[in-house]
Amino acid sequence: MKENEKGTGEAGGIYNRIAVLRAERGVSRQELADAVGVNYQTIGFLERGDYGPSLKLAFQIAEYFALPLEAVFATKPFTPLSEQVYGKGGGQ
Amino acid sequence: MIVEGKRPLGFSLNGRSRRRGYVVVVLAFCAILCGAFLKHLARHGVEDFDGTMLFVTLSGITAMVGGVRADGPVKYFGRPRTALFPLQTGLRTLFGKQEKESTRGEIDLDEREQHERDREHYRAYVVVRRFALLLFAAYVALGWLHVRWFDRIGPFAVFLLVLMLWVLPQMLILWNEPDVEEQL
Repeated sequence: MKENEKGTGEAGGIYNRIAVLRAERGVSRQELADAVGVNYQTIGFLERGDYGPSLKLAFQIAEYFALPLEAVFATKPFTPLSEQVYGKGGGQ
Repeated sequence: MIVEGKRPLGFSLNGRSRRRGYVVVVLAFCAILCGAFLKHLARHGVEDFDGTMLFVTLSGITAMVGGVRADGPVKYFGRPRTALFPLQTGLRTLFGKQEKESTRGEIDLDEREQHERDREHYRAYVVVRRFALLLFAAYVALGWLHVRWFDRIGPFAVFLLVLMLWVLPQMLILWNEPDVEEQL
């Protein structure tokens, strides 16, 4: 699952890991959307970086995944998890 | 922003090209109406003018594209509807009738949709403002030139302005709504 690397335009430079977290925990867009009270399409917009969430929505999403806000949202692109675990080059 | 499963005039609105096609159909309908209106004004003048048909058609166009109190393809924008008069609410409470919670309204729009709604309304406002300015300039200029032409099409210009105010935001939403290939 590709992390949001856009973070520009509508999202206003906000990057997130929603797609990765959802895939990791087997949560559908609809489930997450119902939990935070938005349309499931809005989750898609967030994941693609086409929309920057309000502070309230950002906190709700972070709470849903039981993670601190900075683990889900950032103002700089996230390092891919594979790179964090295996380092650059993917452990070759 | 688009209400799913709506098929206005039998049109499926799944897909941007279909939505744009629908907007074109509505615009063509508006153009035909405007043409008929202008023809009527040219033949009979302002004096012999009855606005009933215009009112009915305006309501029809509003219903085709959605918006306030019309079951169109665009989500309802307003706040949840309450009783028309405070007295009505009071009587309902008195006779033990529960206020039915509206399923339409602000609660149906999440923050992104509200953001989109506001953005398209602003775009529509800019277009209408320019159009109104243009009309005003034409009115003033023709007045200076002592041309009475504007008096004759004045009602048409006002109608066009009202039409734009009523349906432009919804049309812009239908036109700009992106395709979302979402798997749930």
